[in-house]
Amino acid sequence: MFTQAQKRKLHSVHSLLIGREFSGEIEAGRTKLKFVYSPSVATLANGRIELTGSFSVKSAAGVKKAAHVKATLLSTQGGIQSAPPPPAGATDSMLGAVHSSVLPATDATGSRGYAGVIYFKLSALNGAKLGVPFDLSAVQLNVRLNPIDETARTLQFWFSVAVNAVHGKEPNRNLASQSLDEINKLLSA
Amino acid sequence: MQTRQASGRKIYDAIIIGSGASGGMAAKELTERGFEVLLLEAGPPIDPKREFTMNKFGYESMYRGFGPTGWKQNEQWQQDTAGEFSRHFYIKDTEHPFTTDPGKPFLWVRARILGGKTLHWGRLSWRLSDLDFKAASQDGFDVDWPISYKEIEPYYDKAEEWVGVAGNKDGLWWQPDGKFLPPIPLTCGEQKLKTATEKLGWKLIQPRLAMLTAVKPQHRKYGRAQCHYCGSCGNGCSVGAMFNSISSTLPAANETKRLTLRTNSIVRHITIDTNTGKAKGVAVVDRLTHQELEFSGKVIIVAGSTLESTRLLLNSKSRQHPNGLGNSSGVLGHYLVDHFGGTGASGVMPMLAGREPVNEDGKSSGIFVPRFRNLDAKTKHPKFLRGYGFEGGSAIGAFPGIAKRLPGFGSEFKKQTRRWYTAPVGLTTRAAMLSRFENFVEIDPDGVVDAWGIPVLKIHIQHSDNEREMGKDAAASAAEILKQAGAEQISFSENLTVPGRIIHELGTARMGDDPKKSVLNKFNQVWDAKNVFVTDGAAFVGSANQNPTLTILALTIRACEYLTEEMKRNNL
Repeated sequence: MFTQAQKRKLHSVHSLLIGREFSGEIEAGRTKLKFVYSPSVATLANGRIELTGSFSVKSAAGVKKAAHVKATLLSTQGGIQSAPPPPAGATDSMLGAVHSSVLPATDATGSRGYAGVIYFKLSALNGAKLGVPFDLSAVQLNVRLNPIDETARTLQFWFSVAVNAVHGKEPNRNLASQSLDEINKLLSA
Repeated sequence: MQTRQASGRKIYDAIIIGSGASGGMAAKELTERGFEVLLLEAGPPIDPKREFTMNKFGYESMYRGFGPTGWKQNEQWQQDTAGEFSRHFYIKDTEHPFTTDPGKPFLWVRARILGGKTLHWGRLSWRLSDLDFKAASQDGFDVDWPISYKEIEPYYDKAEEWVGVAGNKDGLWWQPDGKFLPPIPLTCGEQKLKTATEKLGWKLIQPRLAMLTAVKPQHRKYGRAQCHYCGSCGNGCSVGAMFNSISSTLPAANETKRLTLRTNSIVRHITIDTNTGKAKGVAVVDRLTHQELEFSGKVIIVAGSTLESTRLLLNSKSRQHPNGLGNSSGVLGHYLVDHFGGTGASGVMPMLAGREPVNEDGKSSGIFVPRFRNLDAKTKHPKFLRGYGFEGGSAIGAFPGIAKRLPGFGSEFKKQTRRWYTAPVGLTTRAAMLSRFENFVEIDPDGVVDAWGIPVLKIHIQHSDNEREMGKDAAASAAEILKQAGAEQISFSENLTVPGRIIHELGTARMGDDPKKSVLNKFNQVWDAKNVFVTDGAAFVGSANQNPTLTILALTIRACEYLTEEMKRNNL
């Protein structure tokens, strides 16, 4: 049992995209609980990108898992460093309009624009069942995309394309569909 | 710093939000004028003895000052200027989200810690002139500031004398002189650049820096010492030679015994008296315990840094202020600007190659080429409005940056590195960005929050062709100066920095003469709630091309003087 004072709301947690999973830690006092969100499918629901997968938390007591956890994309933060290279069959221009002026470009915009962080809202989780001493009814999952492996790098590219195609100024249904297909191939591989 | 315990029952004369340049100065000014002040800082306190690391040498760390692999990209990816020894001065991006549209990134460097960004700022301290304050009258774009240089000049004097600004009186009407400490001399390479720049008909002057080259009584009183040129200002200056809140304004405020400081206090919103529509205090969440608190004050000074201040106002919605506090005009959040850099040129000076290395980077300053475009009809540029200056210099650094540009390997590579290491030269642009309504911040409409559940900003900003034309001209001008100086292996940098990168984000709660077109009046007072003042960079009408902190300090002193008088007259 957790006391009322311990049941504070967990508003947002940070994670990193490693392979095809989002991994992070929840700080609970002096304890750090490792968690992994493993999406298995990406769809469009009510005009938003939505992932479905499992959320597992590792503690001294073992690993506890919640299945069918939905992660609905809320918003993004544009990336600043180098954009992920387009994988085979893709082009730079999928990331946005190519800068074609003779005037100088701005760093990290135009065809090199991409998502550096993606913010998702998780469907309600039961903290007690997962061994987390917080109210997890409305957790925001912040996913930093700083890939160090090929799967993550390719996922970052397709997530960036999908975000642009679904939530950008000029939505593109074909590109949205193509990018979600590519994401699903990677998630189920 | 020991102050008394903050009380939820007391009504403070003033609550100041933020302890950086503006908040620190407001604390000093108001406590010295007899105000009981509660200063709220969102971040932790700092122990300069332990946490200022200017004496740490890169080679003391196994990471050579660059930090362990991945720390920056995984935890502090936005904190571009943070290093291994200074990363604790900056926020963790993992806890502080913000959002942008796809393909329109913003780089947001933030310091939530006692002293704010004064712990690691660049220290360049320029006055603006009527070329900047009255720019719209000259070129017809946007509006003038509601103040003139004459009105703010005495406050620049006060700010410079308190802060201690090293500089030279150069007699340029558009770059006004001030109350300076002795200037920091140019290096040999910089003298060459000066000669070359002046041959082209432009000026090159010594930077005006908030570093003590001489110690006046007002500095000595708080233990500030003369700069000893260690060159590690950004790691925390533990002798107080560099101006920051910790060594200067906060000790002065604390000495009055009228300062109460509460760190780890994140202000959620400003609370409103439903009868009057005026502010009555602030709602706070403790950063560590997540405890919710409220404090009451007669006056609220918002000085949390440009975008955090505007975020707070936008989050302070009430029946009287349904779109955010101070937003009856619909202007709050709009006219966001940042200086841009990126364009410029670098190379090597053959006449300086192979010389005996000496400590040249310890002075931590270089040169400044003041604006030379659009000063008058003669200098009018056909393709862009306003102008830019150059920062740069020629000095041997601790790290041989030239090495990465040299080809080869082995002993010949080392020989070449040693030879060219003593001869670097570079210029980078600091340019004005036009204030446009369409560059703005809003509370993220999709509901993204930070680690404390506080709604975050969505930032919308892009450069226009005016900036791109200016950047193109700047790159060509920089190369021209280097060629004239006899530099070789000149390489160009042609992209503009991503907005935010220069860490001079300004505007979004602009001052003005018309309450329908501005958020603040000319004294930084919110039109819609006269006991609220916004004293940081949010108040700026335009960016000009000069570093903004000295103007922020001067405006803060002026606002504090005004509000003191208004309080005496019962007008708040």
